[in-house]
Amino acid sequence: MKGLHIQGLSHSYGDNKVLDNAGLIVPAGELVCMLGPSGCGKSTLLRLAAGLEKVQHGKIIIDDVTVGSADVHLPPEKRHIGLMFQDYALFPHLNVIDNVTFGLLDMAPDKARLLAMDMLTQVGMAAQSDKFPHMLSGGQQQRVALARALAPEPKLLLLDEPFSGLDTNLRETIREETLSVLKNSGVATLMVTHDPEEAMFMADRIKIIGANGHILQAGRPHEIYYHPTHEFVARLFGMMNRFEGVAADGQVETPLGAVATDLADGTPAEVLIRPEGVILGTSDNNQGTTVEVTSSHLMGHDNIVRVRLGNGEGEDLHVRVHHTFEAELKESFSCRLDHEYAFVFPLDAESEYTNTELMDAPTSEEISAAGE
Amino acid sequence: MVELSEDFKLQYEALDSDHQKLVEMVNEISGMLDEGCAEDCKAKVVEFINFTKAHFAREEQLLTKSGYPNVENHSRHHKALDKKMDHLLEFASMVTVNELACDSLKKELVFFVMDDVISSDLDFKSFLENIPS
Repeated sequence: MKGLHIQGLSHSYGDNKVLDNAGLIVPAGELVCMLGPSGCGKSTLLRLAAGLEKVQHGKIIIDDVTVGSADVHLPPEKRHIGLMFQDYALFPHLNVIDNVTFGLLDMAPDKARLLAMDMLTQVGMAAQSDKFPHMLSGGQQQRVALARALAPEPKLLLLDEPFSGLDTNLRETIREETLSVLKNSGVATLMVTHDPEEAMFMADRIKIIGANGHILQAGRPHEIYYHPTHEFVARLFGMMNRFEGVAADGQVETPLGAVATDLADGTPAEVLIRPEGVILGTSDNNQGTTVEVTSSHLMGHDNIVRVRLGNGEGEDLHVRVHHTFEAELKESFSCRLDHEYAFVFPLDAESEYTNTELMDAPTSEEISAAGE
Repeated sequence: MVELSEDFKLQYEALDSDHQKLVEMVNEISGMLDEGCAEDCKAKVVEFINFTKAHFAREEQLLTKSGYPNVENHSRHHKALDKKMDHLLEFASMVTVNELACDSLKKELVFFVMDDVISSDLDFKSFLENIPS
């Protein structure tokens, strides 16, 4: 198969196992994203694919050639890969064109220069070819780094948190441009990130890696967001409302209504509901559960409204509403569930968490701070 | 065009031939889409899904009979793929009117067969070495 095939990769640093039987494929022309929290082993996987570390157990195959296993270690420069890191790693003493031609030493200089200029044109940096890295903005440096990585026409491109050094607005622009260039190039791309939004935007397929280095779920961005198979995966994409219950007759009861499940009767369960899965309506139609507003926070294109169940005496919920929705403090609403955003998991499932920040929904103060 | 290279083979004839058939079906569906025969595609995707389910049943039976210790986990993995197969059918229903669905179906079929089905079966490759083919 053209592209990358990783098979049963396990890796430890001393007693610390950071990858546990990880496997994936990245066909040529596709972009697969490894998404997981810091320390889950995703960068280790990338380093192993690049040949920067030796494989302890498992196999790495690029275009049907084994480049890494317990017995084989092809050095990075012989793997035909491109690498791009968050710090761009441009050579400060070389100008833009020389940075890009650096990886083309086997090519005749005139040809290398033509190819490099072609790549710089593709990333919109041809006019800056004689500038030095310190004369460029972060976004421009990133574009040059992409041109340099793609110029040798690698079989595989490895991206390690490539946009994390950029500010929010620039990041959105650059990643869109990068995606366009990658799709045109037809190269197999493996990207690692801890940013769920970035993974959703960029990837043809996302692989979620848990805190124990084990792959928990793989699928299209839509599938990962709307059909998480593990509580860890569901929680990766932001705050969640949570209820506990017991499965009975194919459902679990919550204060907002029953949620369907295939768990066996009597199984303790937790129900996770995304804030956009809680629908507020007028309280005078007697439909749904009554809630009372305790705070509201503008997040830009939407608001996060915090409401309290049971006429202000029960649990708090987070509700995502359109920014034009104006709620008054202590105002009552009826509240119902959009089942597309509600997920049931067994309560006794082994937790993948090591980072409690992922577990807890933000407090009102944290939401306020984020909205400011 | 997907190929079942040696690295994807279990070296266990019955399962490798099932995988080969799945890969051929994926290539056939992809070819139909490329040649503009999207109308006939849904029936082929249904056939693919039926064959996949039959393959899962055969595989689970073999693993259970052979005493594979992680058979329950693998069965759960198969069960989790039901939703993906539903999505493949949804895409197949839309390919005549939606070019994005056409692209998505081609992509998803490759990931499904190579990553979700065949690659995950490599977990028990070493176990099968001691089982008569």
